[in-house]
Amino acid sequence: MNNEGYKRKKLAVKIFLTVIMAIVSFTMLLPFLWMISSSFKDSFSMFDYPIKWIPDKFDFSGYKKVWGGEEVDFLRFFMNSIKTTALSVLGTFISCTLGGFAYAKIRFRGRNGLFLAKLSTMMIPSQITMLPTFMIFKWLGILDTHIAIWLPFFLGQPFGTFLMRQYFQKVPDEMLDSARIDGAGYLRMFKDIALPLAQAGVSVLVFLYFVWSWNFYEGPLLYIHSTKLYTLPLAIKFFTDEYQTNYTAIMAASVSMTVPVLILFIGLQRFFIEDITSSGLKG
Amino acid sequence: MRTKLTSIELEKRKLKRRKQLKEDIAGYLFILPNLVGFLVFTMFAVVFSFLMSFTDWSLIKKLSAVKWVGLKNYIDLFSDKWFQASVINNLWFLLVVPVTIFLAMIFAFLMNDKIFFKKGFRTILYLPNITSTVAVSVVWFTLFNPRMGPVNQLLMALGVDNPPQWLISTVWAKPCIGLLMIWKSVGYYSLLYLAALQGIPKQLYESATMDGASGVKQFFKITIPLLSPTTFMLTILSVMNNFKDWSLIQIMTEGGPGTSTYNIGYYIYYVAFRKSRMGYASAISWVLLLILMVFTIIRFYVEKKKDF
Repeated sequence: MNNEGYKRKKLAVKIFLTVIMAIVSFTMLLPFLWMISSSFKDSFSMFDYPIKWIPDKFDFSGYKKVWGGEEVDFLRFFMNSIKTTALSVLGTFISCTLGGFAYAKIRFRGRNGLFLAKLSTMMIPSQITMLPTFMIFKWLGILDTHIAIWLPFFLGQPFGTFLMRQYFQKVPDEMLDSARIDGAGYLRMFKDIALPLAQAGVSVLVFLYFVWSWNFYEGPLLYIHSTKLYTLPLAIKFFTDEYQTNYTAIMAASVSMTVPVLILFIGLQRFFIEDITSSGLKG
Repeated sequence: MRTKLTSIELEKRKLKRRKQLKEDIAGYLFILPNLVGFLVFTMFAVVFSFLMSFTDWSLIKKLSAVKWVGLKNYIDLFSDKWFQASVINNLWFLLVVPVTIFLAMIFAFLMNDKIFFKKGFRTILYLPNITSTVAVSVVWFTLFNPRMGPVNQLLMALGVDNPPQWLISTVWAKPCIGLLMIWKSVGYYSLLYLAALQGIPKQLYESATMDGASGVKQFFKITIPLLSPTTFMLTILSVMNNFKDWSLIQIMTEGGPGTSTYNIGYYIYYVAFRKSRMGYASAISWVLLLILMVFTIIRFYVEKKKDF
């Protein structure tokens, strides 16, 4: 009887806390809901008070303006973003898995020192390297090209390298040794054994760098000047400054930019959210 | 007999050396992209930035025309009102840190078996973190629009006659940005807390329950103390980010109104690319590095000593 009462009380507490948490998360979602809801309103009814979260009449003029391609070439910015993001993620994948594998499994001289040096670069604020990088790009003649955005990703991001090293360290040495006896070189060990075993790590790497490159703002802001080369973050910032009153179109553009990330995240998160968490802790 | 042994030994050594050489070649080939990145975009960049911090380097000048000015840039900092304003604002923005961390801790505590649908909540809380700041900034601009924004309409409906001007007010721009910072990072931090919580043995809570300790008491007596390593790490990380992150401020207010939302990180961008005083900007970024180093050293020292 007593036990029963205790259980019931515990359930009541759990329900109560769930309700509180639901209110909190709903509040956190409000900016998203506002963004989606206003993207379907015209600029006048957007500020109606009290707020109509579901508009009486769905207005697609914002989306038409954004995707119609008459006033602004949004499709081009979208494609620019897809191009730079794809290349950045590819570059990260190549350089960080190769580097991570070498730091974890190949016993070359100077390995620990080099790894430590690479790791310590994470402590340097980007402001220090930002100006010299700008000059290097200028000397290479790649300022105001997309190359300036994706090139650094091909040269081993410290966090990604560190992350992949963690996963490759878990690959048992015996498996690599037996492959070695069969005459496999490091490239084959890497490709056939280590990489498939580190799949969870690869998916975290690809997801995180997809999100970061998709939202990457600082690089394009510093290196890109021609409007036709803008990526989405830069383009939307530009619209916000130029067409301040046309909020509906800007909201529609923001939604269009956010949706790919949301789909990817919600679709994939159960596979690796634990891995994101633990990798963050180690970093 | 003797000579034969040494020749075997020699052979062995040779083989070993060849094997090591093979490892070396493979290793360096694998890290080649990493190494190039490190040498060019870190080593060279750091040295270049350090040297340039003693010059009057600017974007408009040719590199050959750059003049050595010694410590002038560093001395100028002391009388630079904008820099001082940035430092003071930064101290203000530090208020965001305890709020974020405390909220994150509570959310994680609740999501750790205290509620239903915890995976769903986890997803929702993480969403702001992976959303583009630019996309969200538009939401903030409209929500906090002084005349027509829903926040002020609500305040006026509640009887506030002169609601704050938010992003265009020197007083209210900071809290408005602080709110955005909290919103963006609280979910990520609570995920990190959640991972740490899962490392706390359940028996601790069970025996505390048996002893009649309430949930609130358990939170303060078990959860908070055992989470202190994570709390410490997150505090240091988030303080450091507060000093150096600049894109959010560039997007939201460009430091304004006046100097009210400059932080050190943004001021460096401003000096370099708006004033094109690259040498001076380099000097400020080295001061920033020094500030960050202090926190890194504190972290290193405390984590070593406390044996967390």
